[in-house]
Amino acid sequence: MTASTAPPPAAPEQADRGGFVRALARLGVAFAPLYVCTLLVWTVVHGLPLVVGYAIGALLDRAVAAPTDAGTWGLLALAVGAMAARALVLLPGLALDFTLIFRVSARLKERAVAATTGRSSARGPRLSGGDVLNRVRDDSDEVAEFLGWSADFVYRTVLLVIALVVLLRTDWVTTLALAPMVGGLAVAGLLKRRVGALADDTRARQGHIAGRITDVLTGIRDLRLGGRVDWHVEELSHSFGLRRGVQARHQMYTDLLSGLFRNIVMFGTAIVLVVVSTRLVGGGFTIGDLALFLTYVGWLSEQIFFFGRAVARHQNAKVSHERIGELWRGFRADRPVPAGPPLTELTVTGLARRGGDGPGSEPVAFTGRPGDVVLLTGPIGTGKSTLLRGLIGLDPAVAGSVRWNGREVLGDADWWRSPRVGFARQGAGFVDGTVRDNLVLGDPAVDEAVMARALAAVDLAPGSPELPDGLDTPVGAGGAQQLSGGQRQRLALARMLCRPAEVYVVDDCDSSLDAATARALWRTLPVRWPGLWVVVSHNEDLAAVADRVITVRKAGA
Amino acid sequence: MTSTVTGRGVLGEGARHVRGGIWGAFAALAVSLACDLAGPLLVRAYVDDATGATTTGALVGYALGYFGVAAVGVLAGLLTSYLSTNAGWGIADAIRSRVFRHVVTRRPVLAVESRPQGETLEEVEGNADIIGEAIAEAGFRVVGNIALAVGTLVIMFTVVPQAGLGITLLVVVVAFALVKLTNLAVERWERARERKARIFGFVGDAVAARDDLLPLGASGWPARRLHGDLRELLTAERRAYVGGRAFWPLTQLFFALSFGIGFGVGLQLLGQGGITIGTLTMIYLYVDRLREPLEDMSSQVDLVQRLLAALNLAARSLTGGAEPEGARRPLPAGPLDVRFADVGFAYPGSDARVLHGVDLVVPAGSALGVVGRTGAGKSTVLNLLCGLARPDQGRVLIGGVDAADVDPVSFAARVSVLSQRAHLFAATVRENVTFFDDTVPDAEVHRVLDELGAGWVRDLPDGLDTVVGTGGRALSEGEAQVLAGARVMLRHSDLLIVDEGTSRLDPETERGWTALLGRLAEDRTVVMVAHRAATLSAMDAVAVVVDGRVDDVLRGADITALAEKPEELSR
Repeated sequence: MTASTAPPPAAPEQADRGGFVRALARLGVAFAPLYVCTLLVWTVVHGLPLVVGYAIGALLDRAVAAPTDAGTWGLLALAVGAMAARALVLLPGLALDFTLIFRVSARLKERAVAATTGRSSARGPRLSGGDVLNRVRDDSDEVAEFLGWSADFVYRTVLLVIALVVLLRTDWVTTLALAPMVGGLAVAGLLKRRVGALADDTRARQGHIAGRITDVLTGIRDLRLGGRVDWHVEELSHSFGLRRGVQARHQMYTDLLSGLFRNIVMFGTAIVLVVVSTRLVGGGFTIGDLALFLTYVGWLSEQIFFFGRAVARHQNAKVSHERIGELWRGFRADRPVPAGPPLTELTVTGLARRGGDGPGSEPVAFTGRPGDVVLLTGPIGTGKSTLLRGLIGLDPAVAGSVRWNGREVLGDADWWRSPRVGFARQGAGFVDGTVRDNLVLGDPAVDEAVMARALAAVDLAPGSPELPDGLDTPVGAGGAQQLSGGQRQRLALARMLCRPAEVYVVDDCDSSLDAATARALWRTLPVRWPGLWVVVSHNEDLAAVADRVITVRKAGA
Repeated sequence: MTSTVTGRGVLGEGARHVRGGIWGAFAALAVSLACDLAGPLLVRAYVDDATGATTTGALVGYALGYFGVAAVGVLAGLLTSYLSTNAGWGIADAIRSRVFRHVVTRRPVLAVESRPQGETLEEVEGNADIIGEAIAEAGFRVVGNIALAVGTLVIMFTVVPQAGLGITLLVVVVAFALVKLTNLAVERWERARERKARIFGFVGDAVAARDDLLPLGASGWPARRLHGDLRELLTAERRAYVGGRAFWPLTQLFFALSFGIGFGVGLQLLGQGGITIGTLTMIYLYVDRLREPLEDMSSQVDLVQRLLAALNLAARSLTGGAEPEGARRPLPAGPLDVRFADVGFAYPGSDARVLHGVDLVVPAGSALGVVGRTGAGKSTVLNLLCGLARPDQGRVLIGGVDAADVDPVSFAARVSVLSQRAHLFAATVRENVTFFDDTVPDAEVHRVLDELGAGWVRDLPDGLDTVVGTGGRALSEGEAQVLAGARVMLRHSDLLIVDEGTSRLDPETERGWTALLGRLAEDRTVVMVAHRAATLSAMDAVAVVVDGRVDDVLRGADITALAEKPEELSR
């Protein structure tokens, strides 16, 4: 119980190299009480049929001689009682099993989300939003379910040994004759590899399709108005068909694997019947022994069936662990914001876009102090946004030097966090929820007064036609109908102003504003929120009031 | 209006595509069932022979017969699983395609845009995955297991009628409980799934916004909120899961009781010499055999419950939120004019009126600029003009046809839209510019790009084949906008609608852009929302929108005056 309230573990990078089994073991230990309870309850659930089978064997032997004797009825009562007890234990067993799997899966989901949102898109793995979501949603479940299965491994093995001892004591010749049933495990090894490869392929296709669907949804307006929706629907249907081909083959191999074991019960029964043919006639083997063997053969094959399926699932779970692990590989949680003195001077020299996708830019240099406004301007495609993102450590594709009171902080993603920096950009992302949700972002320090002040400064007063329901006005995630581009830009600014900062970094948040709004904005913000403002903008009013105006040019231009 | 779509209807429609596979799977299933049922009968003969005076040879004969039946059963079982997988995922993909098509072609654009993508993705992919998995893994087997249970009961009835009667009564009780439990669990799963869709909608948004959250110190917030949300989801899903699977303990109890009845009666009969020990063993084997299908069914019923829940959700996706089918009128040939006549509008679900009695006339071939303060209603004017919403009052006409009634094919051919929200697809530069039309020659693409001053495309290592968009080469927003502009340039439309198209350009590019618009305006009608005075000089008229009303329409010298004194924009 206590395990679930603990924050996700801050697993260092090297822990991930320990392999899938060790990762599972760590998860098992983290949920030890729940895991052990599940284990115990399910041992009883799967152990009781063995008791039943033993009682029936004895019962049949007695029934031949004295069918209605009190001892015979007693054995029947024992068998029926054991079955009824099993029914009673099942309910808590199901609840425990579900809770364990869900909690483990939730832990993985939280860790993956924490690692994804804990790094900038340029520093984390390059995956589409749909692909990330797909991994968070499905792969975590696959891994957690397998951890649930690992408990089965433990108790089923114990019970298997007990069952074999009972059989060997009853008739060791017949028991040994059952050995070929286990031979199926070798075939499983061969099938397993194929299942793994196909699982890989299926998941990759799934991620790709999810990415494409997201892409179509984002561009829905252009596609609908341009009449190209149907083309995309056809393309995706085609992708579905290709995925289905792989999926069906994957399922077939998985079933082949599990079916192989499942049908061993039939062969096991046939083996028992053939082997005991001579012994029954001779009288060394009773009908009760036969019933015991037939019951246990069914039970044994159920266990082998499980192990076969587990082998197949193991491969799937390993692939899934690999995929979800990609989201947090190299990420270290809970890194504190490094301590440092308040800003007196920020010195930027030779800052330029290097590497990455775009061409290089001419290096820029400036010095700023609290209260200054530094404006970056220049033609598009010169990498102004990349420079800003690089300045605050979001994008590693920059070179040069950024000194905070003389201390080098370029590329130090941890340094550039609130309350040191505030950031707002054109095309900012929001979550589906209210204006309040999007301003607070889970920070209790952002109260009504803080929000009111920030919204007023960007001319988005609660209760105005722009925010008819005030802070409770819904904000759609994608491109809400109630919010125009200009409103979204101002909401991004307000979100930034709701938390303290020493450096305000603003990337083109006035392009969709009309001239008067933009001018009022730039007249207010640097005065009311004194700090160093580093702004990318084409606004001419801002150029007039900025302390420094820097024009960014393409390298070699 | 759309006819109502039910979960069953959705399933039937999906199944039409794989009819052959479904029948094949059932045939294979029947063979494997027959083999399963024959087993205990053979064991009875074997035991009776063994207790009587018989030879080892006869017993081995029975044993080998059993082996043969088992082998056929195994092969039939494998064939069943292969065929049922194909059929299951075939049905699922048919439903998936149908829901996806519905979402992207029938839902209002504004509704799709305002919904988190994670939620829509879950609606299309998540639901269909459940359907496919449930049919492939449970759909056929559940039928097989029911048939196996019924077959077992019939045989028991013939052999030991007294025991058969008691067990049949129990089966009726269990079946009744099953139906009740299923209904309850379906409801619970539906609620849990909707909650789950909302949670993943949030996760999707948070992932998309991670570059904004990180510097603001809120990077840990999504995981924290997810933690709380998942705790609530656990309670909801566990209720649904345990409720659904309560069937398993129930069958266990059923098994215990029926076993007691069967064996009790059997022992009595054995005492009276009414049956043989072989028959008693067979009763036991059949009752034991009932256990497995019933246990299987409990997890399969769980899958079937999810299947029903998913089908209902799919049916709801297909009925709900569809745009009413418009009249689909084609636009008249020749130049197009635009007219707003006394237009009033409020967004659905909102009381706030965004437009009040807007009157605008744009004669064919002329260019109208729309200016106004942020939030004045300019974007709404364009949404209405694009037919994305229907005015509550008055009419919006393109070439005399109501904008919302224009046939989409005709609209796409005759009207170009350069939107503020222009999106670069995860595709090549060429595909993004030609908009997936592979008949456009490269020279034409280059000509347009050069005209827009986008020479940088030629510098790209893969040229027009460079993949951009998500996962591809990163472009600045200005570069992306130029590509979107080129997309519009390629189409020879009669009406051009521009929404803040110049908002992201630097002064130099903006000048080129303005000149270009001027040239475009010569041979087509233009309606453009603009914020910058400089881009207005190419317009024949400029409408000033204030608080959802047309405050003034400027012409000639007034536009020049406005362009020189941009503060006029916000009077």
